[in-house]
Amino acid sequence: MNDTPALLKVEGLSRHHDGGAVKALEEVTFCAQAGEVVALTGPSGCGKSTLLSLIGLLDQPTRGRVCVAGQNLATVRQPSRFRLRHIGFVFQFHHMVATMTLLENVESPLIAMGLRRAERRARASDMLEQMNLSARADFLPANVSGGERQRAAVARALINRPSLILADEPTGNLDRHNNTIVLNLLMAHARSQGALVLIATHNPEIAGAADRRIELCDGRLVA
Amino acid sequence: MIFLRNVMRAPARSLMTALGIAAGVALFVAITAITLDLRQQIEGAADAYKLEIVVYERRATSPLSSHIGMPQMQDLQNRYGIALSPLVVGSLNEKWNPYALVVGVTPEFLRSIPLTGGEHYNEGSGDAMIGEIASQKLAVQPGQHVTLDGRPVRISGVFRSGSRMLDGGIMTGIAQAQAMITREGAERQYTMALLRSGQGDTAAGLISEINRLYPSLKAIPGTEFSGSLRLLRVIEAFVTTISVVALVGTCLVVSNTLLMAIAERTREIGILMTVGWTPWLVLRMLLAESLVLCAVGAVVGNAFALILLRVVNGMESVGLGWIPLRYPLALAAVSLGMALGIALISLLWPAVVLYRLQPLTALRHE
Repeated sequence: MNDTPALLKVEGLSRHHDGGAVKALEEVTFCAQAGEVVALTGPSGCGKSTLLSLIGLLDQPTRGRVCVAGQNLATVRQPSRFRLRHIGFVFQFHHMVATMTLLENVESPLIAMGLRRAERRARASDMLEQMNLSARADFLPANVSGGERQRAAVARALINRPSLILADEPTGNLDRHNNTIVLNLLMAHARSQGALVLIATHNPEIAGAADRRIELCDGRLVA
Repeated sequence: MIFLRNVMRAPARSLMTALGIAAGVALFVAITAITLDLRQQIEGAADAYKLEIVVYERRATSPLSSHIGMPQMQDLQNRYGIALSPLVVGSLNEKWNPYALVVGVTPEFLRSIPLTGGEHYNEGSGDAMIGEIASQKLAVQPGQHVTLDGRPVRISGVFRSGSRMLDGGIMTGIAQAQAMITREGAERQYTMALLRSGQGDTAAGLISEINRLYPSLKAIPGTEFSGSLRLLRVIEAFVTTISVVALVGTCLVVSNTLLMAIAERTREIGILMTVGWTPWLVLRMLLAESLVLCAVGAVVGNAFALILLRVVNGMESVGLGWIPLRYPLALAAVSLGMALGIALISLLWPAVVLYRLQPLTALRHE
């Protein structure tokens, strides 16, 4: 830990379903700094994905609060705009749009930013080159391998240079080789851009490679 | 072109949707074309014969269903002289044309009718002139005979009136026309009279005078002739109703297609919302797809309409010249505009669905 202000502050965060019968997350509190790679571990159903959804403004907490870059997420009026500026998502199953080429998928956040086509294309092409996917730029997701799709998904998450990357089991569906590539890409981004990478994972290798590890069990923080 | 790829994602469904739009557009274009043409023909004929004042029976629903008795017409002729042209209009159900219009005109009026072949008939000869369309259909030349009302009638000439309905029929003397269209034993009558204003008279003055002196008659300016045809107004109301039904039906077809697209692509929409797309941006993508489908539907629909008009025109049961084979370009443009309007209106429901969709729910959609 260093003395720089926390990029992410989670305070007493709870998420209940069915009127409190299901406690997906209970009183979770932690902080994380920019440039860190934090592994979020725990058994299936422990609340890792729920926590990422709350931090990513995809869901609303029952109690508690989340601050990203100093802003309380409860006060964010346009979640999509906030996600666009601050947050990048990487999912387990790459989640690409089937009718968009890899290049179009990667540039999709830039469309939302309102950038001109030429600039979008240039930035997306550059990002794909960094991911070693230039040769696949015009391929539809169905026509490339799972590893290539996941690299493209990482490229899409990084294209708008977010300060916070939320990765939900990003390597859960990949072989060892691609697993290493994707992990290295995320860590390199955290180091070079000073971004916080929060990775929900079962993979002990990823957990071991992260700067810090947060463990959840039954919706509570245990370590 | 992402939206084209999306349209082609379910090609059979897109094709069916485009055909549904095309059917709606074809229906709208075809029936509107027929109605517009009917009005244009009537107005065209009124213009061609410079109808200044039309006099007809007040209680008649329209000038064409009017009956004016011989004594009253005689009285009108005594008052206005050759400025007044009595007219007899009726139709015969002939094998070659089930709605063969028969128009009986005075010798003065006869001279104003342009011919494309032969000559005007001699009054009292019992001869007739045939319209250009009927002449072509029957391959009848001046000097030959056609059967009308079971009797052979000699054709003296071929006329072109500017109205296809008239050009599919016959023009003859008043007495001859009355004999053809009046039931046996019934009193011979006139249909209406046309009146021209002369020196010292104004059309408005004459109209006012007739309406005052003849309470059982009604005089209107020639420009109001087509508007006074109740049948035309009924047809136009019918066309409007059918058009609205076609419009609503087509909107539902397109809306259903877009809702299915949203249902199938819910997870992808969730991804896009997660990476920062607003519902409006997603809606724009759907709008592009909707516009493509509707534009294709409009083009195909216009092609269908042309085919439909040709088919109906060729039907034996339809009167010669009653159905146009083409229509104004403006109508095609209106149909395209209508289709684009459908593309917009059809998005209303999908838009509500999209704005209610939460990214997390969308991402978890199976």
